[in-house]
Order: sequence, then C-alpha cells, then structure tokens
Amino acid sequence: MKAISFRNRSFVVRSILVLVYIAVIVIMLMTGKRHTILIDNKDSEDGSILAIDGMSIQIDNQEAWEYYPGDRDKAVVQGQRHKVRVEILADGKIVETAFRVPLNQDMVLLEVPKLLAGVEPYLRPFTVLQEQASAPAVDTPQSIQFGGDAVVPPDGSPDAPPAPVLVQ
Amino acid sequence: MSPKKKSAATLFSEYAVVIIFLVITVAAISPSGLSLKYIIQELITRLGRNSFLVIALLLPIYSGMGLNFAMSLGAMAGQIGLIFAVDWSVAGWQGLVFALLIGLPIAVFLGWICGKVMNKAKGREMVTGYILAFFINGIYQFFVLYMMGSVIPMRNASIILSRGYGIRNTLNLESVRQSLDTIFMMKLGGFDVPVVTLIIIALLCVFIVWFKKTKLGQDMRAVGQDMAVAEAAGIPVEKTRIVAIIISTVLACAGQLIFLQNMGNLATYNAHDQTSFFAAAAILVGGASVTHASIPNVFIGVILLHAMFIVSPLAGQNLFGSAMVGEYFRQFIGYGVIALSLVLYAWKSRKAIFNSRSDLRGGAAAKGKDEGGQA
Amino acid sequence: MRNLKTFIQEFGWPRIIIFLFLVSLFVLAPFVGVRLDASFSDVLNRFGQYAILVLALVPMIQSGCGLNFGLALGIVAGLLGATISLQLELRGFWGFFGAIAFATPFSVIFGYFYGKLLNKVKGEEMTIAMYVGFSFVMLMCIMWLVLPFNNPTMVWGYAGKGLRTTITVEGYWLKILNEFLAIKIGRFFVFPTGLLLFVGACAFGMWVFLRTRIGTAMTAVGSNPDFARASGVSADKMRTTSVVLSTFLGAVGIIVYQQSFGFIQLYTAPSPMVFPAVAAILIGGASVNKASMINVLVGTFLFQGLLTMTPSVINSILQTDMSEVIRIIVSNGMILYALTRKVKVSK
Repeated sequence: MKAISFRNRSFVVRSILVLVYIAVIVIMLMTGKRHTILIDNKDSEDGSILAIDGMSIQIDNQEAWEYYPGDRDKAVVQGQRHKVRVEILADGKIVETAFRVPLNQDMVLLEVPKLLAGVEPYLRPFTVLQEQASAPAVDTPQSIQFGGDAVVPPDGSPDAPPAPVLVQ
Repeated sequence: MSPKKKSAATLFSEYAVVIIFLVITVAAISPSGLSLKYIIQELITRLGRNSFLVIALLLPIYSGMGLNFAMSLGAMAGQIGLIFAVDWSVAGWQGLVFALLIGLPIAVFLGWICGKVMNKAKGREMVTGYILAFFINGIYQFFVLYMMGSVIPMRNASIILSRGYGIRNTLNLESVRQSLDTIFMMKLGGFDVPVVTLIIIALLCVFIVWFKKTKLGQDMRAVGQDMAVAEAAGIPVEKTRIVAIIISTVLACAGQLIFLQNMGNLATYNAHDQTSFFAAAAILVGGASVTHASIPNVFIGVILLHAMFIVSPLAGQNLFGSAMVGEYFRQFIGYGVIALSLVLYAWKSRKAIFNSRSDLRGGAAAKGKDEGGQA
Repeated sequence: MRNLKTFIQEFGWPRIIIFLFLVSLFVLAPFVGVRLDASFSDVLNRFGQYAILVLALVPMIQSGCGLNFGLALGIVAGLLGATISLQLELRGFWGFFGAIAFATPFSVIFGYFYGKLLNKVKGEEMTIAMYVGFSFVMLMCIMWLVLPFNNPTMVWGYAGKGLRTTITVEGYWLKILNEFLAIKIGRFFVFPTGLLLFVGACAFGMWVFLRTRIGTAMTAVGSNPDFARASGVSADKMRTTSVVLSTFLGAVGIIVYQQSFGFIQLYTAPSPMVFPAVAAILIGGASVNKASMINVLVGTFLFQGLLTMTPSVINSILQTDMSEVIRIIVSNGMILYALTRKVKVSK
C-alpha cells in the first residue's frame, strides 16, 4: 500500500467520508434508541405533592390512559424529544409539555404530580436491577459441522420419533 | 468448429435443474393442501427476505471464483452489528442502519481475509470458502459466546446469558422486526407487499448492472474468463479477486440484516450456518452455473426454490403420512440440486474442453485414456 | 541444523504448534486434577475409534481425487451393514464381522457409482463430493424411516416401525474389539488391544496394498498422470477403484467406531463425521494429493488427543466449556492450511 500522504485531496475526501459515517451512526443512535418512560402517579416522597385522582395521560401520539392514585404504567418510545399531554378528568384542565430523555438512559421515571405542580425535576433516571430474566442455561452451541461432542444419550422415550430440525 | 445443433438432450441438460424443480413443485402443490393465495403471499415475503443474499453471490461467480460459500462471513458481521443495535436498544429502521454501519467495517475486513485465503487456493475456492466459513464461525462464536459481556462491555443485561457473559442463544428482534418491510407495506390485490425492501433490492440490481460496465467490473469479467490472459493484459488479478469477495461479503452483511429483520428473531449461533447453502441453491436452481450467473437467475431461483420449500413439507406429510419425510425430502432436494448443478456444469465444461481439443486434433478424438484429475 | 530447518518446513508450523499444544495439555493435566491414566486410555480409545475412517481417505488422496468429502456414502454403507447385522440378531464377533460383510456389497455399489460420477467431474471433486454426500444422507434419512426393520431394540416403540436415531449395540457387539485381549492397569487405564491390533492390521494392509501393482498404479495416476497414461494405466479405472476402496474402508471404519462408541447413529449423523476425519489426516501431514500411513496414525492421534484433552483440561482451568469452539477453530484451521499450500501441480 502506498504511504498515506496527509496533504492530498483524496485524504481529505476520505476523512470527510469517515466523519460522515460516524455522524450517521450517531444520528441513528439518537433517533432510533428506545427508551421506556415510566409514568408515575404517586405522592412525592415528602408528601408535599399529592397524586391526582383521575387523569388521562398521553405520550406523543400513543394511546391515552387513565391514571388514578398509585398507578404506574410504562410507554416505550423512540428517540429523545417527546411530549406529554395531561387532561385532568375532574375539571377538564389540559397541560402539555415537551421534554427530552437523556441519550444514555434506557429508562426514566416521569412523576406527573410534580410535573403538574410545576416542580422540577419531574423526570428522573431509573435503573432496574434486572434479574437475569431466567435465561436458559447455555447450551454450548452445537456446531452444524461436527454435530457436537460424541456424548450421545440414547433416545429417552423410544416411542415417538422427534420432530425434524426445521432449518429456516 | 462445426456448429452443433442443440439436441433435445442438450437443451434438457442445460435447463435440467429448472425443469426438475418446476415439475416437483407443481406436483406437490395439490397434495400439500396449501392455497395458491397463501403460496403467492409466502413467495412475495421470501423474495423480499432472501433475494439480496442471493445477489451477493453474483460478483464472485463473475470473477471466476465460483460459489462464495464464505458469504456467511458477511452474515456474521451483520449479526454482530445487530447484537450491538439490540444492546443499545436502537429500534426501528434506525436500528438496522446502525447495525449495518457497525457490521460494515467487520464485513470488509473479513472479506479481505477471505480474498487473501482464496488467492492462495486458486482452483479450489469453493471448498476453501466452505471451510473458511466454519473457521470464522469458530472465531465468531468465541467472540460472541465468551468475549461479549466480559471483555467487551454490554449494556443490556437481558441479552446476556445467566452465567454473566456471552450472548443468549436467541435474541428477540422485536425492536427491529419488520422495520424495513413495514416502512411502506402496500396492499396489492389482497397481498402484502413490502415496498421499501423490494425497492432496495431493485436498486441493488441497478447497481450490479452499472458496476459490470465499470472498469473494475470489466476487470472482474476478464479475470473470471482467464486469469493468465487477464494478468498478461495488465489487470491486477489478485487485487481484483479480493475486491470481488469484499463486495460479496458486504452485500451478504446487508442481506443478512434484511433477512433477520423479516424473521424477527436471531438464532445467535446458528443463523448464519445455512445462509450460503440457501443462497447457492437458489442461484443454481435459477439456472446459474459456477461460472455464469445473471440477475434473472437470482429471482427465478428464489421463486422456484422457495416454492418447493413451501409446499414439500406438507406434501410429504400428506403423501407419506409423515412430516419428517417431507422435511428430509426437502433437504435432499436442496442438497441434491446443488450437487446436480455442479455435476452438470463440470461435466459440460470437461466435454467442451474435450471437444475443442479433438477438433484441434482434426477430429480424430483420442479415445480411451483420459488424463488424471486434479483435486 | 539444516536438517532441523527442513524438517520444520516440511512438517509445517501449524502441526508443530498443535503437537506442542497437546504435549502441554498432557503436562498440565495432573495439575488441574485430570487423571493422566484415564486420559491416556481415552485418547487411545478414540484413536482406535477414528483411525480407520481416516485411513479410508488415503486411496482417494493418492489417486488424485482429493479429500473424500463424500465419505458419508461409505459411512451409510456401514450403517446398513450394522443395522442388518442387528436385525438378524448376530452377536459377538459374528455380529461385528457380519456387519462388515453386509456392508461390503453396499459400499462397493455406492463406491462404484460415486467413482463414475467423480470421473466425469475431474477438477471439482471436493465440492461435488460434499453435496452428493449431504443429499445422499438426506435420502437415507427417508430410508431409515421406511425400511422394514422390526427388531424391537431398533425401532420406535410407538409405531413399531422406523428406526430410532441412535441404536445401542449393547448386548450385540459392544466393544468387541476393544476388550479383546485388553490390558487393564489400575482402575482407570484400559489398553484396548484388540482395537489397536485391528487398526494396525488395516494400516499395514493398506501400506502393503500401496506397494502392489495396483497400489502403485493408483499413486501414479494421482501424482503423475502422464506417466501413468504412458504406462498404459487407465486413470479412470484406478480412480474408481480408489473410490470403491475408500467407501469400503469408510464402512469398516464406522463399524469399528460403533463397536467402540456403543451406538449406531443414523439419520443426519454421518455428515458431521467426515470433517474430523479430513482434519485428522491433514494434521498428520497429508496434503490434498499425497497421504501415507504415518499421516493417518499421527494425525488421528494428535487430533483425537486434542479433542480428548482440551475439554477436560481447559474446562478445569477456565471453569467453562470451550472445547467446541476450540475444536472448530483447530480442525478447520488445519484443513484451510492444507488447502492453501502450494501444490506441485502436475496436469
């Protein structure tokens, strides 16, 4: 390969292409990343703000759901900018706000009572101690070429033939 | 050379594979009990899902390297990209583009290695590619089963195995499922047609046609026809072959992503195993040979092969009372058609060499002792 | 010093690396709690198990047909022989040799047609062999379901027909060779004398055969076809003979394997047995068109040694099962190495 010269045009072109490439990846990440918004209708920790009794909440263009005190539900969204529309059932008051989900956070907690009371921040990051959702014990992938090690157990039930391995 | 009239036998041998397939498939439609509407819808879906991968085989054939059984290298690259996309929760078509952009450099690198190896095994590219696919599969498994989650930090714990490292055996691709297909799913005459997917495939065909006209494309054709002559004409034979394989691998990467987004889940350790088999079978059924393949071969092949795959399991079940027989029959035909095509091709080319030699000798064809073969 | 250098060049770095790796595994074994005597016993067993399958590759390599990726045909012939022997309730040595006897006509017929096919496609044998092998195995899958066997130990209990996926040979000829004149030292070490004698006899037989007139003709066809033609040897006939011989040995090989392993494995099992054999002979130093007895024996030993020791030792060290991945990388790496070596082309 010829030595890389830093001056000529093709180097500049190539560097620009690389930067564009990385930029597209980042854009994809930003617009495509999924976040889960946990919508919360609980009293705040210090009891100063109370949960609302009966309201309808809609995130972006999704279905609107009703919330009563103590309810928590989740909405899965893509991208970072979203809007929330709250309609209080009792008096018909409507509040709409836009907010941003941080790129790094997979899950955020939206405390609606705080939002309505005008208390910031009403959006908190939320991490779940995810139990390894019973992932099946790893079956060392059987290579199609070698058919796995020669530890073949004799067929358990000599009754019914096993279903064929349907490939694709 | 005296012009030879094409006898019925020659015609049959040229289209043998296509004819056999048509006969078997049509015969199996009625015993399968499947409605024509169902079959056609399935075919439309499978066209969208598989064609891209089959097109990836065109350039290596064009460059004289035979069937690129090592296309699964590209598939593995795409899968790694996809694993990262799922890990970062990038959904929708953005997830696919993300996966593609991550997988591309890997695909280029693997394609480069493949090209280099194949250059060292000239005359044996197909077997070498086949074995190389298994070899890289081993490395892929090492990477995905041991390094991801341990040495390579993963964000999303739910895709990791319970032991703490290594990706799970099946990944639910619900986040990107059908994202390409459903961007614009058109309802045409009672069928669902994934428009964007088909447009992308069409664009690829246009690209291939254009590419064959470029200098690089012409170089590949020359290399494919005769390496020595191409070398004498000043074409960098080794480099051209490597480029052909790299392009093929990259296309396989994208093709596998299209395939997986339609399937909806990823069998992390197995999904790429049969990729090259199905693609090679399709293109051969479509009338291609180891040295000649064109775009019509791709689509005819996908339709014929998959039509057969759709009807034969149920036909086998109803005819023989056993689903297994249908499944085995399907695989028998699948492998058999590749073997048959390869045999027909090799036989024809040997006959052609023999005939041209005997013509040069003035018609007194040397009877009896053939020369020995070279593996 | 020059001799050492040439030796290394001829032997090839990959093989040296594998050999050293294997030795290091043996050295490590006692330190990680793996019993050396049990390991040796295992390795010897597996060596004997596979050796004849590897030996079966030799005729076709010598005659220029390349690596017999279609060995599955010979294996299927052996399976037919074994199942028939079981169906007829033959036991002991009768059963074992009966299986071989029944397998012989099948292997000869399969080999004959397969050989004729390969002769028509000189130059592309290996790829075609693979796919012919795969499709034939699939065809046999249908056959195993349909053929009229009815020995209760062999068929599915529910329907009463159709063979099971794995059939035990216990009670028939399990380990009949292994235990013949076996030497037992301590609780863990069994020297499978009968097995190794049989393997040795076959290897010796092949060695002698290659020096007979037919054997030399076969080799000539593979290494110097012009000379062979000039001497009046029909390349096609020699190639077909080599294919038949290879298929026959494949049948014998799988029967030897089964008596040691204990099970007859039907359906899709033959296909994955071919690659280990190919890898073994290549590890032993064979090339695509030249193979000797040393290649067979050394290669099988190294390969099976690797397959036996890697799981036990590495798993004890790393507390994880990496054996499958290592096996894939090593065996395919070896085949790749052989395929990419510069071959002295004699067209």
